[in-house]
Amino acid sequence: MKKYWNIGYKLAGIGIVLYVIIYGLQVKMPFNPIWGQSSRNLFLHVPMWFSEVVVMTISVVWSVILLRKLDPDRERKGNPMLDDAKARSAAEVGIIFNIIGLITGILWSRVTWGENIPSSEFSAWWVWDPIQVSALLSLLIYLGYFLLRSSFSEPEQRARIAAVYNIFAYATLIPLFFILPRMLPGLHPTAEQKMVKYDGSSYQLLLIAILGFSLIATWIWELRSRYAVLEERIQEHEAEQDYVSQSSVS
Amino acid sequence: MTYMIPIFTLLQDHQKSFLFASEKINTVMTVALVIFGGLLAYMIFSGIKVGRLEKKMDELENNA
Repeated sequence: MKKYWNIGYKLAGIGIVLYVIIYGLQVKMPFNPIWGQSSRNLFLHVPMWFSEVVVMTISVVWSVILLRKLDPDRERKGNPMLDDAKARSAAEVGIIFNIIGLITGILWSRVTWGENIPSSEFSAWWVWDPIQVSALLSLLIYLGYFLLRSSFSEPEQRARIAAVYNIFAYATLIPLFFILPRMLPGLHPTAEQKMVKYDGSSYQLLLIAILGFSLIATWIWELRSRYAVLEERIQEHEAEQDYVSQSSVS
Repeated sequence: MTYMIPIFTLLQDHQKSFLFASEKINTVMTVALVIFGGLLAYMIFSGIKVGRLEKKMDELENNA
């Protein structure tokens, strides 16, 4: 059953994303002279942020599981380092989606907000819009997660401190992505404006695109976590072999 | 006169930079290329690394 589920969600992700690309180029979009045909970027750019939130949620869930396992009052079951590997790999995938979201956003803003500004000027590419800045801040916060990890050599201590940081980093995503942009004036249309502009089929297609890209993000996380877990198991195996060979010598 | 409209559009497109051409549809194509290029490259790269590690793990288990 698990095997079918594993294949099923990946196939569903591919199917949905293909549908979004084909239908997204044909669906009737609301007319906007500044956006032109670039408004179809909505089905590609916006799902990047939702996919990031999905994988960061996976990351924080594994961090909580790890902290529960490291609790000295509980009986330890399984290797907690494998949970740390899963949390770390999800954060890595989230960063990839964040970077892609930033690049695609920059390209889209170039032909809309920066349309009349020469390419040589910085403001043609980056306008310090609150949502842009929030996205950049979230990237920096999660880069801090990896920077923090690299400063500890003891694996269990690194896993524990990184898990706590991860929970706080995830908590900042909510105000950065969902609260601050609605409170501050900016160039991005707010959720209410979007719902009025993108009515009917285009709005439904956006929701379908979010689902499709989130499934793809989960697939990538599964692949990355397989890599991280294997790395952890190989290290464990090598350490065991070293211990056996050392004890046989002595 | 109707045939003049696409020609006029094409001429205008020719003067525009790549991202702005064809009513900005090129931006959508570029965004799609960045997303799928980036994600595919990342998946292939990860897949190759997973394959290598799985091979190494098998070797370690066989030796043990």
